[in-house]
Amino acid sequence: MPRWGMIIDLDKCTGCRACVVACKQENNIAPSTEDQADQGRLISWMNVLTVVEGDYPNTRVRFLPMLCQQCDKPPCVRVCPVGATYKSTQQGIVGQIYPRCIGCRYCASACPYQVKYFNWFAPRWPEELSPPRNPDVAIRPKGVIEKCTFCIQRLQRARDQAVIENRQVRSEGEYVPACVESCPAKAMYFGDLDDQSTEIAKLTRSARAYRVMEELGTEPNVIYLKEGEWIAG
Amino acid sequence: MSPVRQMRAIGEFRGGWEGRRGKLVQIESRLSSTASKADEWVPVNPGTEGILALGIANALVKYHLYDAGFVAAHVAGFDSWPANEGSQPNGFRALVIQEYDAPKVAEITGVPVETITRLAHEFAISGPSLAVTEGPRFSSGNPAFSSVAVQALNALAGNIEKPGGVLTCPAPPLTWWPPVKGSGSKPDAAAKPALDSVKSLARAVWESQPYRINALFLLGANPLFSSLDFPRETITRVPFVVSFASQLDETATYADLILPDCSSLERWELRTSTPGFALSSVAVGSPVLAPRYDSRPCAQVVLDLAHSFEGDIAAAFPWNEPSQALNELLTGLYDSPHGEIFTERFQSEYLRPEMRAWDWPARKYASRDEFVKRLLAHGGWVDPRYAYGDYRAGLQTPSGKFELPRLLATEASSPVFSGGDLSGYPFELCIFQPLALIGQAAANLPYLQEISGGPQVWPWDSFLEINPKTAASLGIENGDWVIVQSPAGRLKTRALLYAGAMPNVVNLPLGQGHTALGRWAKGRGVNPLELLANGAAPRVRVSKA
Repeated sequence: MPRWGMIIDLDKCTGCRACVVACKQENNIAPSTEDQADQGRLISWMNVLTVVEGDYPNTRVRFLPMLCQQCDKPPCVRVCPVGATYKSTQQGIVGQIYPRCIGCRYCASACPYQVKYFNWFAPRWPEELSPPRNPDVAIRPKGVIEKCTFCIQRLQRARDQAVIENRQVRSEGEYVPACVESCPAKAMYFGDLDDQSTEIAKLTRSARAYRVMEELGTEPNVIYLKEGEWIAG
Repeated sequence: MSPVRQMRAIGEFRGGWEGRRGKLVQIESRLSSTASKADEWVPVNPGTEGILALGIANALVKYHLYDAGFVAAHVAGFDSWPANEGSQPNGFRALVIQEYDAPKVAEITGVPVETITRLAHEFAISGPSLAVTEGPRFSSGNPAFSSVAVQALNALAGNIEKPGGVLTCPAPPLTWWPPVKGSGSKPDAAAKPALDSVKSLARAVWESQPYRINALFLLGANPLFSSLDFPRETITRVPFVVSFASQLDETATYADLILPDCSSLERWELRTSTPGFALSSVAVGSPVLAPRYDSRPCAQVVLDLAHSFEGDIAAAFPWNEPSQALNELLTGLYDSPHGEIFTERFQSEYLRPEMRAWDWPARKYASRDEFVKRLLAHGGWVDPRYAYGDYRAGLQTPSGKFELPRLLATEASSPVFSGGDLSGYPFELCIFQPLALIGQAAANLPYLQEISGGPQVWPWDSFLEINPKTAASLGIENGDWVIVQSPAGRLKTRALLYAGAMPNVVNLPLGQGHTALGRWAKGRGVNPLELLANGAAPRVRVSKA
């Protein structure tokens, strides 16, 4: 089975946050309000962290797109008392079953990447924005946890098509999450990490490749390529 | 401008091999997104970019790092001003040597002498190198002077009309509609000067110079919010105002008639060559959604208006729909012996030298209709050729040369802001444009409001960026409410301690503080342009609220 993974080239990421908006649109994440944002209860499956390093004038700003790392050994799954969050053996994706979730938020506490979001409010769309909701994605009610699913609905669509054509889902290019598709700088790559012929598999061997907090043993399937420095040639 | 194209370019640029790819140096008073992706950020006092450029020019001249051959052949005024009327020093060389030596420039700009000298050497030896400026929009500097000074660097390096240098985008061969003829046309209309800035429009309204404005049609512009030159007293003097705004912006609230335009997904669009892309190109967008609510494409309104006239005006607009008018424009592309539709072949091969050669022929199509059909399916057309070395295109001046004397004219032109006693206002104000709020109505889109400040900064609101050490000296902590006072007004917002702010400069984002535009935009944050009302200098004092 494929091991779906993502590579984010931090050298190319401009911090524009097009991925953030594309994710919200694709996955039916309701727009927040000013009050919710003030309370820190803004839901953003894809988030671009901005890190300011150093003091003026030796200041450096770095961007780090942060989403569910789709760990092979996810801490969130181990602590869920009701099996609402699970590691799919077929797709390699960490899933979330909303009707099972009891809202205990253990998983949010256990996740070292802080990418599990609790629905403190019932989702509400302004009248003008309501029709474009994605029919392939369930609306999460108040009181449950939600997170990035690697746009699993897109995988489902690709698999349906593959079944019709009596083949497997292609390792690269056929199934792509919304964030990857929208990235203007083409900083994100997606595909089967186990298929050595893919671009993404080649990139995993880059000297710049690293996983966030890999010392914790979570074995993420999101891999970052660190920023390179300019060297006089 | 196309932010998507610029993002892609940055991505490709950064993806190049270290040491082999170019070096990007961002000279700016604030550590912006571009500065964060640059290889080096050089903080410079706001409005002094032009002076720094001449400081770099000083080093280029002093150390003989400029392209002497190019300067001799294509630059006017290097050794002496052509019509020297006693202006001293005489000539650009003497000017930069005498007036813009490194220590003096360093004092004005805040950039150390060694940095200025190093930048000059890097600019000269890592060619082709390019100096680009947008010009200070709201700072105390002189934008025209800055632009000419920065372009002078390209002239000194000889980086004009050659690969990697300043290129001039040729116009695509569209078949333009014939002008209105006969009794319906006003013969003097074309001869009248265009009002090409908000300032000139305001002058026409107040002084009827160069002519009186009886009716104003506004499309994609909200001058009441985005310009200092168009206060509400101005628009109330125009007898008839029509706005095509699809969201009720500040200017539209003063319109006599609002005819909401469709969104770009609901109408036909044609764009010619975008900035940053030097090839002659046409991008065409066809509608993919039916218009929602009570909106119509602006082009349709213009056609219907023309048809309501009788005789020659109606005859000059024979199309019933915008798509037909657009279709006619594309005839010139079909007839052109060169150029390609944005096909996969083009995408993969356009950089190949033979394709960019002059004799690369256009692909033949069975009929004009088939050409148009394919063009619409692929979204555009481009001519991959570029006439490098053709200086007639890049240097469209009376002398046919890069005219350095323009520096003197722009230097002498009046500054944008008034002076006065500014001793009580110790900080320079830098107004910057956050990417999320670039669009005309972006502030009224909740998803864009959410990303307008960044995750650790307050979304849905404005903030004042201030250097942490400066803030500490004022007793201000992160998140404190602060009062920003200028000679023209005062604003209250939250302080964001940011190490990318210069100690003597505070930064305010542009795009919030709307008094109209819709429920998500109205009454949220502050509009920093209020601090610059009536030509007040961009100087402020900051105190804890």
